[in-house]
Amino acid sequence: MSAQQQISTTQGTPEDRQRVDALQRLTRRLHVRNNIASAILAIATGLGALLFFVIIIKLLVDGVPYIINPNFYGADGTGVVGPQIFNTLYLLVFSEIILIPIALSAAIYLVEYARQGPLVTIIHFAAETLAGVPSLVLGLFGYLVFSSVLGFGLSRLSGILTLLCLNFPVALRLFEDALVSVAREQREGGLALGSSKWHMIRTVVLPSALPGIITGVVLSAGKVIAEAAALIFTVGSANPSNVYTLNPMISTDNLTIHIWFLKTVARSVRIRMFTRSIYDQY
Amino acid sequence: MAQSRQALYDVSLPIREKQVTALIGPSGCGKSTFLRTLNRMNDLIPGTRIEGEALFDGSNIYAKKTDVVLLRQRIGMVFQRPNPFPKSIFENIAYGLRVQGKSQSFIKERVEASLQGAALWDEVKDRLNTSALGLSGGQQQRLCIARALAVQPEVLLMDEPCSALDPIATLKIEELITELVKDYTIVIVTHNMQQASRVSHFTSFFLSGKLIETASTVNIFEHPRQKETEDYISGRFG
Repeated sequence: MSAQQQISTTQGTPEDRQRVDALQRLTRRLHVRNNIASAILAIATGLGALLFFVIIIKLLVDGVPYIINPNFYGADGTGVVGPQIFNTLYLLVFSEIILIPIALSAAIYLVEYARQGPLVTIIHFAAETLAGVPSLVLGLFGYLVFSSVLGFGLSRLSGILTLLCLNFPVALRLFEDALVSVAREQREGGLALGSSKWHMIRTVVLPSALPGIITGVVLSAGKVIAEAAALIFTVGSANPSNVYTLNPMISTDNLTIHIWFLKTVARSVRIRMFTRSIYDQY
Repeated sequence: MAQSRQALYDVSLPIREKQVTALIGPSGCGKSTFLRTLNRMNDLIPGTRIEGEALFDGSNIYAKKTDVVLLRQRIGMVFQRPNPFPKSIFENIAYGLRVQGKSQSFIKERVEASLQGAALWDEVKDRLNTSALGLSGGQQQRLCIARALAVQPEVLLMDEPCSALDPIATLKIEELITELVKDYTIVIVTHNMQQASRVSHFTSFFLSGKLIETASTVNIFEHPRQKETEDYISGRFG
């Protein structure tokens, strides 16, 4: 009966029919706009993905022959990159080992314990300003403080400490965001069961914040791997023969510094050696 | 910055042992805030100021020497929206017991007893190790009640425990309350006047941060002394 009623409505008075026709035109326009929008969004996504895949495929096609060639990693100082990969990983591991506990502790203190007031605001302002300082400037700062005043010279240690200055504000902010995003209900649930604040943070907040914390670690790791400017002044661009050691006091280079070095200082000499040493294998 | 505003004015209210006390009133009248003063949950909101005293077992819970952690182990709380931890059902119930450093065998025993106490055992006994987030809203809320019962508090505070639940789940929680009150002192905040009349022995009516009237539930609903109370329970406002 109701179906019949509906049909009779659409075929009802001329005013009714007009109203339905107008609504139909309107919804048709809405559908067209929706389709246009989704098409544009899909094309943009496709272009982004295409670029991504082109880069990956290009890297694999051009890179794999070198990566599987053992001479590529040789330590004979003729421009292959074994030492540089080792140094990059060295800097990555040790700067993260120092960064994570310090930044996470500071984030937990600021979010969970500190009285939210002017002091916290100032700390956030300082951290954000520090995050905006160009790494070249921080490199000079690191050279001045760690290499020169503290006397660590050009060394891995100076580089790691400079990377710490560079990464701390970013990691702090990301860790704080991760902690803040844990719902208040969860915290209250833990505390209402008679847990102390620290126990609640350990068992409720940190497990829930873990994905965000991992994001922070990954992003800061990316910064360490990509960093060159801050390290040129603090780690240097040397390529010593005893590079495969954990000694933090030696000056080395890393992948990014190596690229910079090849592109500028040693252009004429080393590029030729580099290319020859690779092509000689084929 | 949130505007500062006084939420409660001169509230004085006895809460009787092993009875259900219901707090009713329109939204924003301060009934939840009052409930949260009883286990010092308001301490967690920055910039809160509380004056006066709340006596529990003869001592003021706002005294400087009060151990808030101990207080909350003696006064449990169930929140408006079910807030299970993203852990297994077992670990949710075990949480408060692990805080207290109980042995594994004791924890096992208490988990079963608490789930039975919260009328949830039969529904979850075969999947204690699955995530608590997979339970329905009503089950999650009973899980939260079980979690609070596990540490054997003396008082149970319930902040609109049924407001996010459907009528059947609500009925189950109400049956549970009438069962639990044999062993626990219960204070329940509710929007639902029928609920207050069904489960509570005493009812207090709050309006704009003031306690308007407190009496036995029968008297509040049948012979309210204040005009505001009568208006509210007869549905003329609120």
